Formats: sequence, C-alpha cells, structure tokens
Amino acid sequence: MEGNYYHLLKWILAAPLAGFLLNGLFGKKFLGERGGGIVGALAIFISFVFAALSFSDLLNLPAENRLLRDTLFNWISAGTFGVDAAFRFDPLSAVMALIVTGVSFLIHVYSIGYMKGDAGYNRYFAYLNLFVFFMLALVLADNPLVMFVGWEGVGLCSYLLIGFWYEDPEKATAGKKAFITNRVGDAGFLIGLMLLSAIMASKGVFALDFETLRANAPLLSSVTVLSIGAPTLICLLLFFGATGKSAQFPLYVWLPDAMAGPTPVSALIHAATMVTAGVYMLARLSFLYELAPKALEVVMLVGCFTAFFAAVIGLAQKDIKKVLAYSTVSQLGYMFMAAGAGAYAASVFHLATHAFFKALLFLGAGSVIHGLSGEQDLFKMGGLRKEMPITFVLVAVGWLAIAGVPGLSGFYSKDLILEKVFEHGGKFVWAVGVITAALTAFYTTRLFVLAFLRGKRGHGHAHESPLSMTLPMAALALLALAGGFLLKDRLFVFLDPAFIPAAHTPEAARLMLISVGAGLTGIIAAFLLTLPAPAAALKAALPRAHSLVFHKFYVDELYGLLILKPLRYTADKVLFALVDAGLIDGLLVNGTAKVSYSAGKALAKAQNGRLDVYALVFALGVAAMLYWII
Amino acid sequence: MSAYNLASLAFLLFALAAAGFLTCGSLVRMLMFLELMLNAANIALVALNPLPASQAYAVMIFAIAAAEAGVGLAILITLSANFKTLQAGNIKELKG
Repeated sequence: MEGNYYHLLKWILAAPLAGFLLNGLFGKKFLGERGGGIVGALAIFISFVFAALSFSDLLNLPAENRLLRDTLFNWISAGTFGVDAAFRFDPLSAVMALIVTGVSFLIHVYSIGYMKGDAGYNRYFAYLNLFVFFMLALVLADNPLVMFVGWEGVGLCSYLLIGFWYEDPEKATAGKKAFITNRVGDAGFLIGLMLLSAIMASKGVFALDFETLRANAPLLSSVTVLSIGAPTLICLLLFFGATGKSAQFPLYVWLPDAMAGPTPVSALIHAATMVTAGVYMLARLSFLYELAPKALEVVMLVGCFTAFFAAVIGLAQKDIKKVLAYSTVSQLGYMFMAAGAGAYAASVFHLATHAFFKALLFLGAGSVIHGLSGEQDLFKMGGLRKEMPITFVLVAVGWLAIAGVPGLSGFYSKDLILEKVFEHGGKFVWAVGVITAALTAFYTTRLFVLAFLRGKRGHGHAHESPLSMTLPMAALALLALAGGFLLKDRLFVFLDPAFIPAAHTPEAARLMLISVGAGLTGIIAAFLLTLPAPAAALKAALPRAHSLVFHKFYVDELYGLLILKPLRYTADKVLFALVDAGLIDGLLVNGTAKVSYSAGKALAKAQNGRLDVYALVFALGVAAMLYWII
Repeated sequence: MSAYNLASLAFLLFALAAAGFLTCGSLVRMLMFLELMLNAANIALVALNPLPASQAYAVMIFAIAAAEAGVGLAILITLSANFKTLQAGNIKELKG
C-alpha cells in the first residue's frame, strides 16, 4: 500500500467522539453547564492539536510523497471485494482537517457564551462534537464508503442541530426539510457510488480506496451506461449528491430554512464546514471529473446559476441570518464554478477563506441577535456601532472580506476563481461571476449598514457580548484579514506540488480591476440605496420585482406545487386510502378475520344439535370411507 | 358353524343394529342398538381370529360396552330431566 502508516490519525477522530459520549451520556448529570462546555471545546482542541501534529509531520515528507494513512480494521470483506475503515492525510485532507477543527474550536468557545442558560446545553455540545467527528470522518476518509458514512453523519447532526429547539414546530419542520432534501441528493450520491464500484468490479478492480480509484479511473472511460459515458454519469450523480449537501440549485432550499438552528450552528455547519463537503468531494474525486468534461461543464453552470440566483434573493431579505444563508449558497456557487473550471485548488482556497469570513459574519450576526435578545429583523436594528463596538469592528472585517476589498481574504480567492473561470469557462460565466461579486458586495453592505450604522430603529437596549464570544470572532477576523494573503501561494504549492505561481499577466490585472470595481460599485450602491428615500422610491418603482425577489422567486411554493402536492395526494389518496386502508387493512387484516368468521358461521349450521342427523352423517361417512378403502 | 356363517351372522347383526340405530327416534333404543353393534363386532372378533389376543380383546370390549352403557344411561337420565323427552328429534339445543 502506498503512503506511510501513521497512527495519530485515529486520535483526530477519537477526541470529538469521546467528547460526544461524555457530554451525551454524562453531561446533564455530572458535567453540568460549565463542565459540558469545557469538555466540548477541549475535545475539539485536542483534535486540532493532533491535526496540527499530523500536518507538521506531513510537511516533513518530500513534497511528491505527502500521504499518511491509518487503517483501523477490515470493514467490508465480500469475496475479492474489500473495504477498510481507513483514513488518509494528504494535503487536501490536511487543509480540510485544519479548517474543520480550527473553526470548530473557535465556534465551540463562542457557543459556551452564546448557549449559556439553555436547557439543552449539554445536548448541544454533544451534537456539535458528534458533528465534528463525522465531518472529520468525511474529510479524512480513505475511500468513498467511509466518506459516505461521514457524509450521512453530518447530515444527521445538521438535522439534530437545526431542530435543536424542537419544541417549536417551525424549527422542527426546518430540520426535517433539511434532512429530506439532503436525502434526495444522497440518493444520487449513493447510486453514483454503486455504479462506480460495480463498473470497477467488472473491470477487475475490487478495492475502493482513492489511490486505487485514481490509478484505475481511466478504465471507466470505455464503459457507457444508458448511452452516456460512465465517468460522466457517475460524476453527475455524485454532483447531484453535492447539490444537496452543499445547497446548490435545485436542492438549495433547505439551507435558508436551516437558519432555525442556533446561530453558532449556522456558522459552523451551514457556512464553514458541512456545506463545503460537496466542494471537498469534487476536489477529492477530481481525477474522476477530469475524465468527464461534460459533467464539469454542468458543475460550472449550476454553480454559476446558483451563485447569481442566491445573490439576487439575498438582496431583499429582511432576516439577518437569511441574508447570510443566501450569501452562503451564492459563495458555494463560486466554489463549484471554480471546480467546474477545473481549478480545484482555487475552490478549496475559497472554501478556506469563506470558512473564515462567513463564520465570522455568522458569529457577528449571532452576537447581534444575542445582544438584542433574539431580534433578527434587520429593519429593527440600526445604530449598533455604539452599543456593540467590538462586534461592529469585527463584523466590519468580515464584511470587507466578503465584499472583495483588496488585501482581505475574500478578494484573493474570489479574484482567483474569476480569473480561472475566465480562462476555462468563457466570458459569459465570468461576467455572471463579476455581477454576482457586485451583488455580494451590495447585500453584505446593506446588512452591515442596516445593522450597525445610521440611526437606531428598534426599541430596547443592546448589550455587547461576553469575551467568550468576542474572542473567537477576533481570531476569525484575523484569519479573514490575513488568511488570503498568507495562504494564497503556499496553499497551491501545498495542494499541488507541481504548481508554479503564475506571473500576473496584464490580462489578469485587468480582470482583477474589473472585479474590484464591481465590488466597490456594489458597496457604494448599497450605501446609497439603503437610505430611506431611495429605498422607498426603488420599492415603489419596481413593486413586482421586489415582491418576486423578497419571496425568493417562489421556488419553495413551486416545489410545493410540483413535488409536494402530488406527493401528498398520492400518499393520501393512493397509498393511504387505497393501499393501506383498502388493501392491507381492508382486504388482508380484516378480510382474513371476515373469512374465518363467515366460514365459522356457515359451518355452525352443520352442528344443528340433532343427534339423529349426526348419526346419519357419521354412518354415511363411514360407508363412504369403507367404499373408498375396499 | 363355519367361520363364513359366523361372519355373516356378525355382519347381519351389525347391519340390522346400524339400521335400527339410524331409524329409531328414541335415545334408549339407540343405546341398545349401540350395544348390539358392539356385540356384532365381538362375534366377528372371536369367530374370525383364534389367537388368544383377540379373545382377550373381546373381554375388553365387554368392559367398554359396560362403561358406555353406564355413561350413556347417566346422560339419558340428565337429558330426560332437562328436556322432559327422550326422542332424539326433539332435542335440538345441543349446538354451538
């Protein structure tokens, strides 16, 4: 087996699992609030330390041989087919593991303050630790099956945490929506995996670890399934799974609703880590996607459309978390755009910077909501810069980073993506990307202005959040500030040793100027249009458009009409009334009873209580038997 | 008497008893016809098989016939007490 055996990997995973067990089993009784929070955060910190140790050992290896592996046991063994419960640590896994554990640790610390006094405090940390465990299983997996376990596990934790306050039916419903929407995508993912392993097995490849797959991927090209090339079909199915997990069109609808969960959860799961699983999967299986240029094109177009579409919806949302949710969908679209253009490193780069600034923005939003005792409506905020000065400064960093102001992290990654898309994807996709960048700058500026600047619109007094919340935000702000600059070339060399930092051509500089210009236009436009008079005038001028955007293009309603209603109708009228009530209850269960009842009733007539008749029947019976015998 | 004649006697006796059992309406008579049928079977048993075992069976059938008569008469007494009749056709309530 290629790669060096490395025993530390399992401990990266073991720490959050132990934290989950401690908090889940003994939390409420023995640990209490203080202990539970500390155990939860400490577990992730230990995991982060192990990841960092593995990372430094990985760096000590020669650049072209950077791969550490750890096999726990032989998981599936069926004839010649075998799958191990195995983990790998290569540059891509390393980057993901460090982001996951690092950002998770900060958000755990933040949660200690944010969740203070909640009845489900220990349950919360147990779920959050379990999530980190599954996410690490996803990114460290050495084969698609272990990855799928993590993939499903994070979905489960996402469901548990969205519906964390399950007493509220609306929140419980949001959890269900997320779970069910993800199931739709997961079905595609699973079919893709089955197809992959079946075709591989038909070619005599009975192992599924990524190295074997990479080596044997070209075998797929000769196979066609349903008159489509096997690589294209598999890649499209896997990408369909990614559209569920990473909230891309058409399965993005769950993410905005997922904001029903506690805000740190939105920051961790629905912005920084879980939703990037699809992007990670694409980068991990890039060798497959290289074989399927058509699938890559689909990925790019879907990403492009989602980025633009979600950004437009984000323009007119009232709820501070909804704006950020649509922003996340839109930014994930950017990542897929980059992956579709074949620039996996760029998409992972944007994944990293996005994890920093979007987690920061979400935590900032959480801080604002916390400070305002649960108020989420942007139009009831305003003027918070005086009451929450620290949050104000930190969110400002996140805002400038996502808006693409030069020098901050978002600028580097977004610019790189646009450059790559221009090279590989064509002018149209690039132009949509640039417009989306302007829209991104617009809605984040709008959010910032409405929440922190101008006069106060709400009632009640806001208070600054405790240190346990502001410190993690400060750490993320530092990363959002400097992350892009520090990471940009190092990350690429690390991810791809063959990468040579490209000299910046005048062409690239021109593209950069255009995208920066778009961002600045968005910012200025947002400052102007959030003034009460222009905002009202705009709304009056385009009432139809505003209502369309505000109602999210009625996509939820459309799905309700096209999918849910027929489904409900079938379930109610066909499956319930006909199959369950009619066939199973009526015919099978009650039918059996009815048959034996009426049979008994008919036979009871034979037992009429008349001895002479019995005797006659008996004699006739004996005679018949004798006749038969003789 | 030859075994053939004895068998014929047993058969005739059984057939007559069975016919009487089926045709007469009185329970007491039916009981007596039952006894006759048993006796017919006994004749066949003793006449057609000289082995000691079958002779012993004949004695056992006497015992069974006696027991049957005892139980049957007891039932008849109870029936006549409850239904005030011993005509089989008049007793119709012994059913499920």
